[in-house]
Amino acid sequence: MHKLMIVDDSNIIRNRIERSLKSLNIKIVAAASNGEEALSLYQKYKPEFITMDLTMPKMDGLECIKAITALNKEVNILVVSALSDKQTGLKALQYGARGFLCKPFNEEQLTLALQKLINRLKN
Amino acid sequence: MADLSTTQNQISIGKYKVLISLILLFLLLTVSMLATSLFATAKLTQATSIIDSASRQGAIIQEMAKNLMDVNLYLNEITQQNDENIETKQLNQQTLYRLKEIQNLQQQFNQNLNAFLNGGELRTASGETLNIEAIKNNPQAIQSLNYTQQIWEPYNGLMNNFLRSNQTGIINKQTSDYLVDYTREYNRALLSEQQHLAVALSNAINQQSKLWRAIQIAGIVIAFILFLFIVFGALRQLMQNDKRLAVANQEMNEIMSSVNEGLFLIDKNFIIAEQYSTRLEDILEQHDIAGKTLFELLTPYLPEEEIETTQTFIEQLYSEWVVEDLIEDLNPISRIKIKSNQSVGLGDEKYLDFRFFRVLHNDKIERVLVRVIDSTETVLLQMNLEQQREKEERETAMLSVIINTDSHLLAQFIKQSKERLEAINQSLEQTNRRHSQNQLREKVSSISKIIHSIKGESSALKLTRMVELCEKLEDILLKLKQKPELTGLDFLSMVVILEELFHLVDVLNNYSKTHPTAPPQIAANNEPAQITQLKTFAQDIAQRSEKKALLLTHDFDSNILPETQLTLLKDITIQLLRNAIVHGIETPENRLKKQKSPTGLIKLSLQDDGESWIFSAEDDGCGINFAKIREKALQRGDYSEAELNNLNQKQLLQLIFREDFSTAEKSNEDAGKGIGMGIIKNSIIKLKGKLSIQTQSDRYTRFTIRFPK
Repeated sequence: MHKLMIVDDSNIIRNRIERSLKSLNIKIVAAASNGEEALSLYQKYKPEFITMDLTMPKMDGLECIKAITALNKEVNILVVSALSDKQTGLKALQYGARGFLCKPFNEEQLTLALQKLINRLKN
Repeated sequence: MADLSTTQNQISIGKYKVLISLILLFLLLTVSMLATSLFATAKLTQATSIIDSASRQGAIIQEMAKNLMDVNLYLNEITQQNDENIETKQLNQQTLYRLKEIQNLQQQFNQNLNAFLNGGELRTASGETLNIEAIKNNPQAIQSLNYTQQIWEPYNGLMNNFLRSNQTGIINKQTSDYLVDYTREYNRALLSEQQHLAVALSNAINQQSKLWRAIQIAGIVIAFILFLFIVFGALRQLMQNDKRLAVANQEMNEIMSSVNEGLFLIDKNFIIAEQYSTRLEDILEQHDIAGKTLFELLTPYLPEEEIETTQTFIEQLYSEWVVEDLIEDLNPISRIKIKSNQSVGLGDEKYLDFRFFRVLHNDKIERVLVRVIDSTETVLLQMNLEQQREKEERETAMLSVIINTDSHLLAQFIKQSKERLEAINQSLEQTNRRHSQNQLREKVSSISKIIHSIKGESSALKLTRMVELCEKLEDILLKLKQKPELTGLDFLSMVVILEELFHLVDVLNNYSKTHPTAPPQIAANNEPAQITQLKTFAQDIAQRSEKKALLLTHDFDSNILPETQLTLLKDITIQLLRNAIVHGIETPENRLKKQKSPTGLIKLSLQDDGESWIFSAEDDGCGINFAKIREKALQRGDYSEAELNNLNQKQLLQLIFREDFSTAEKSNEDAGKGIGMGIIKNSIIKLKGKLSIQTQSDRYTRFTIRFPK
């Protein structure tokens, strides 16, 4: 059972992600609505997977990614964000994210993306 | 996509195992041969010395014999008695010397013989000593040695006896005689035995030599054969490899030249590799691509920033932990538009799609494969489909509006629009070079009027797309009016728009044929559809002008008129309504200021006076603004100020019927193009009617038309 944390300031998105995960071998251990919360919850629960929104109040996604990968560079972060600026997305990867999923997404896409990350972990 | 197998590229030593072992064998053989040679040479040298020594034994015997004889002769000279001991003092030097010599020689012979028999130090001819082993495995030699020993021993004994004189100082003549006798007896035998020894030793060494030579020859032959094997083996391998390489190369070339996409590899420094697909040059319209950097390749198409973003993206692909499939959305050049020198579908532009794939070697990401696809066709197709879809949506929107329109009205509109559009079509078809400027301008003017009418009616029916198209045409026509010189070609740009108008009218026509639309609606208060339409029309215009207006029609029953007149009257009504609301009626605030009710009133009436009809449209707005008319005329340069001052009201009113005359500040759907009055004028002429205008500032404006039945 893999542990996952959802980081997104929208309740609706959090719920959608939660629904998508039902078919995978993943348990949601935490949900955060801003970067600071994400960081502290990460330290508490140490999830292997994180879905990260980039535009959030109180420490945006990029900063959060930086902070979390500083604690543990093996963490699997999937950025789930609206694609207004590809440069920001690329920056997220440079900071340590491992994948990018564009909003709006459907459940199938999210499930597939997470499955790919899991498979990568196995190799 | 590009997870290439890694082990194919390693240089596998296994293939060459056989060849290498053959080479090692060859080397081993060569070294052995060399060693054998050295050994043989050493042995031969030694043997030569030994044989030499053996021969020397013979010489020693001879010398000994001679010396013994000489001594004996001397002794015989100095004494005649036998068995007489002579003191050595009495001997001469020569003899003494000879005695020493004999002893020396005896020692040498002994030493060598001993060495031959038992091993030890051998004295060679050059005086060097050589340590040898006892002679074995040579029966001849051993036999000779044994014989020698047999003969020598007594001889040796006698000599020892004789030579004791060194210590005793006395020489015994008899012993000397015995020695000489012995010598005479056995000297020859001894000599020949030494010779036999030498020969036997020589034979032995010759045999060995033969053996070694044979071995060496065999060795050389084998080495040579091995060498041939190696050479041919290596050559064959080379040829096989070459062939395989050639085949692989050929296959690669075939793939690269026939694939329809641009494919190329870049390394970590973004340098493009030698091999790339042929089509790439075609797609990118560049040559000599190998060796360039990605930056150089993309510079003609993209700004520096975008290329840098692309490079940042590619760098992410090299990062092991990033999942390739999950960052596709971030590809900055998944589709770009470039200028092309090839004539493609749409002018000089091409659409290119770039995608990037990792290439693995031994599970390490070494390079990136770039795929470029020319997607111009697809994009154009998509755009066409989009346009189609939009068109259909508009038609659907139009139809959904029409659904509620009175069928009678609709039929009327369709018929009129068709006629009008046909008229325009005819006019355009007849445009040719022989037309003068005046004739062309006349065309522009008449087409403008027709379009204005269509616009009005479309607006009344809320057919927004048709209104839009009419406005587009009006824009074109306006530009043509302002153009200094007209040609027939200028009218071409209108054709496409006209076609769509025709198409829309057709759609309406088809729809109305297959769908019985709403029956002639009779509103709750028994009002005919026409009237309702006019009222709605008035409301729309009022709303757009941010005014409030109410249409009163209790005295206006247009249905009693015949159709032709009705149509014309309707045209006039529409224009008058519009003018009344846009120009006449004030904004609610202004009306309140003038102590009028905020809602303006427009009254239509149609009366019968026996021989003619009297139609009037009256609004309670601000009246005709003569000052504004003067201003506009001045602006247009129709009259000078002085002349304007001389014009009376009637003449001023005539001005507003001039082409393009409008006092509206800006033009929009409802006003400002200065065509409306022209239509009114034309329609009145067609009705054979007369117009009279009454107006009072801030109070009312009334248009009255009297026309025969």
